[in-house]
Amino acid sequence: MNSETVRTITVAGLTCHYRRIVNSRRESPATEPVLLLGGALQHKDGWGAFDEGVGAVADLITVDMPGAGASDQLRPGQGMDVMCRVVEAVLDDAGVSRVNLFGYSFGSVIAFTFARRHPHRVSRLMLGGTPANLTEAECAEWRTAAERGAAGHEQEFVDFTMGFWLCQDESRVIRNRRLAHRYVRRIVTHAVTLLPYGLAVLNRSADEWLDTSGGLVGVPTLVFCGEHDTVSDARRQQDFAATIQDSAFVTIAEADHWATLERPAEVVDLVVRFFTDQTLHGVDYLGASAPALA
Amino acid sequence: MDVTEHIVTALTGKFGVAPAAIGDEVPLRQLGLDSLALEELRLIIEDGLDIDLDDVQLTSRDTFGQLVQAVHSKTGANA
Repeated sequence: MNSETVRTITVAGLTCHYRRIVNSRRESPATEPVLLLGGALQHKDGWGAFDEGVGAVADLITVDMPGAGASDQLRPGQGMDVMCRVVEAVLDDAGVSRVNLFGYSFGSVIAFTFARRHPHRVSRLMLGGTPANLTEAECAEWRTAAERGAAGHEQEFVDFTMGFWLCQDESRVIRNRRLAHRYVRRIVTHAVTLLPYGLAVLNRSADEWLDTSGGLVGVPTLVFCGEHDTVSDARRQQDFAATIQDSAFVTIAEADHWATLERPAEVVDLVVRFFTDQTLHGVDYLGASAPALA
Repeated sequence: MDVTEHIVTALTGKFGVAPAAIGDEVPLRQLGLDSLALEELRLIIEDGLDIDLDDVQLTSRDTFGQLVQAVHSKTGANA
């Protein structure tokens, strides 16, 4: 049985909440604590299979980042600096000196930025579904769709995100495609129609594209994505991984940008393997194009 | 078949939940429902009861009782 506590911190005038799950197993954790950062709308209670799967080998921290869950939204002028300060404050409050940091989608931008600024606090870094190497045209498309949403055409924005985030090519095999599409459409619709700043949160994720210019040194890193990721395709994410000194890249077969939803058990397994230094050889859910790892 | 029976039948028949594990205060995730399974359950309920749960916000941390209540609110609206 795991014990779960929720704590509140204040960073730059924002009240934020995080959750810590401590496994009550008798033996020591197999690795350093794991901190999870998800997409723009991800809240601390929405990690499903991660709680049990990752919690079985390590203490687990999930966060309502600014604008998500019960935490305050960023104020005008605040951005990635405050996001990184929130991560730092969570680690400090939890008494965690070094962490296994997992970032997915927008969370990968925060995680990568934090790791570059505080490499001494990150034992291992795992980045999934990274918005790496997007073109200016792609960014402009997003901004246009967001402007239409803000102008009262919410359904247009939802339709755009469905095409941007989910592989619409029926010839590609995606596990649980129908259910994933239903789920994503509903949560995005809820966000832009019911949440007071849902559109702003989603749009912010588009303003903070991944800065791939500076690389990263000294932090073992695994970059991964669904093999049919449409936000940034596998090739571009692999190119991003190559900018990181001690890195590897893999794809998850039969998944797109929503691999954590479509194949949760497999993503959890990959997280556990990487954060506990297990081999990725012979793992059957990795895409055929993935390079073999040690 | 009433709403509660319909949901219990779906949970036991489709998702293999033991009847004894189901109770009003039991979180759906404790019944083994992750986001995707909950989506599938929504679909089954919508098809079976001919209702639309699209604007109902539910997560796997919500309880069985909350799910039943949410579905009741929709079937009542249809009546």
